Amino acid sequence: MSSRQHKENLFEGMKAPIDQEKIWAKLVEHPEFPHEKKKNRGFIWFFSGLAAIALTAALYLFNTTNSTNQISKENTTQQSEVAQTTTSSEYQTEKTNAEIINSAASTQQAEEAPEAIDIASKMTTSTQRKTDSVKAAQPLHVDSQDKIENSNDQNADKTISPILPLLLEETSQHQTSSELMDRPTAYEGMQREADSIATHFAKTTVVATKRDHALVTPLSTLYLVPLQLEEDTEYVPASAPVIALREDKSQVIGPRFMAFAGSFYSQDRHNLSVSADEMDISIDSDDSYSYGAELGGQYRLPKNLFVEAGLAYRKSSISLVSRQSTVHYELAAANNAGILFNSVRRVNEENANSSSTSFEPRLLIGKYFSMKNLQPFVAAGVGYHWTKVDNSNQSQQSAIDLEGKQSSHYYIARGGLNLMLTPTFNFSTYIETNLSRKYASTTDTYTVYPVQLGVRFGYSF
Amino acid sequence: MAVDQHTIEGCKKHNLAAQRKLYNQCIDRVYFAIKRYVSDEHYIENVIQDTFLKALTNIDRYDPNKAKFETWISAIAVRESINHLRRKKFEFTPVDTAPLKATDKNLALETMQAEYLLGEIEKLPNTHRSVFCLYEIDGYSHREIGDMLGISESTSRSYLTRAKSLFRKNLSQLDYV
Repeated sequence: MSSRQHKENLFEGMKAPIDQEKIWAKLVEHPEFPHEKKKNRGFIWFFSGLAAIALTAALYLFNTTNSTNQISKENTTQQSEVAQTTTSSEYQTEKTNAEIINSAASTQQAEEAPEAIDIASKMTTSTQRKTDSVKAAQPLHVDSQDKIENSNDQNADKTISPILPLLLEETSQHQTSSELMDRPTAYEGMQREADSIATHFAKTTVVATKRDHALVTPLSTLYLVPLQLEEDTEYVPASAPVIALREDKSQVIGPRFMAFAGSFYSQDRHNLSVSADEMDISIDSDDSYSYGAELGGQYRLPKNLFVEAGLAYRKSSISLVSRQSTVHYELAAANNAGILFNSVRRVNEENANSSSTSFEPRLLIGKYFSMKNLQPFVAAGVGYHWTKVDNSNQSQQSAIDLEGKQSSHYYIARGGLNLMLTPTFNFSTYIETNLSRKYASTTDTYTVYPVQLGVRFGYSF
Repeated sequence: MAVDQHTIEGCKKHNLAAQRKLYNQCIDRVYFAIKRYVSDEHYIENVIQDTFLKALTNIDRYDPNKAKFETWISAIAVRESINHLRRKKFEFTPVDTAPLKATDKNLALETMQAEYLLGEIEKLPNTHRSVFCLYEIDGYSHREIGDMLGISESTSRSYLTRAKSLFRKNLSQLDYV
């Protein structure tokens, strides 16, 4: 080897008989020519979409907050108005109605019972209307409960404006009951009407509670008050606050099960190094990325922990460059004494492109660090991917030859933010990386180092 | 003129002026590297284009400590030429694998003009020319040639022996041997 001397290429200094300008012009216009301002459009589109979603969520949240504040102000106004009105005119009106009924019941005897029933029905309709007006002034009930709690006297309930109509009804019924006792038919008719109203309220309360805890819970608590009076004719003041407290607590903790759907984008890095005596092979990513969608569910455990299971569908575009560094012997000199060679380490590069589809079940456990509207969280878990190579484009001498089907397990580390848009809807964004995620080629197995960004919407049950 | 590091760094940043300078400095070498394998001038232009595209898009992988840039791009040119031949259904026909009788006389390549050498190489059949250039000029081993061209090592040796025989025969007519 030491006798070999270096000599420049035999064709050094010769001028190529071609139109160099023409070839250069073609080269620059080629779509694969690396221009200075080359952009990764997929990445830009992903972040544009992410920004749009975040902006929409922010606007939605802003509007929700504003409207909530406005409703609170309106309710406060209504509260004072209703309180004043109810304690004076409405009470007087109801009292008048009761007197009319009394009068009607006393002057018209048992044979006029149907008319009494009509009057009772009208009164019931009136009560319904009043109850609707109570519905519109929900916050008032909280104060009313306090008043109820501090009072054992049923007459004092008349000062509690929202439930006043129903209580008045009770009072009216009790006032008339002694006189109507002699007329069981009329009394039973009124009782049935009252029962139907109670049933209606109960149903409405249950349905509304399922639909929206936050808005209806205080209301439903108060609706239970007259129903309880209806059944027992005796009010237990401690029960309402207990119910309210329990319901409020459930709002803070939130529902325990959440279904989610989301999408993600991942920028992948690959790496493999193999060394031999006279040859080194390294495989690196050129432009590899993947994107996809995921569905799953999350179950909240005590201490703000959660467990999550999901299934991801991923489309990957893999672009790899293999660099083979090998020792070659170039012709250095040739004469009658023999041909001399020069030892040269030569680097050859080859590209391999392929696209693949994966299905990936995942299981994670994590923890929320706050249970307010903005909830930071971390999670870790394990996943498994079944990958099918859809198509590949690689040179025939390439060291990279992705196998048709691959599967392996990998580990997941994730951190992100969960934004509660409403008590039931939430929006999450997260960053994730995978460890020990591998792809197999015919030559070796190489590891993928992805950085994945994802967004998802969740619905809580 | 050797390609300097400043030009390579410019190409890594996709600077057009640096890319043009590199093109001007390497085009002749790339042309003759391809010319050894591809005869048709029209195809040569395509392979030149492919070679520069590959070199410029993968220039980040070039390691100046391992080889000169001219050597690196010539290797790409040779690979692209072979790929072109394979795409054009360039097939090797079986030959008699028995080695020809060896001769004591070696080829006096150094004494001949490069253009004559190139002209004589072009006269060889495609199969013989590829093996001859890969082995004698570009320094690949028979094993590597076999891998590249999809033939066995012994077939590669046979092609080389016959190519040398033909080459010598042609040169003898020019009184080089």
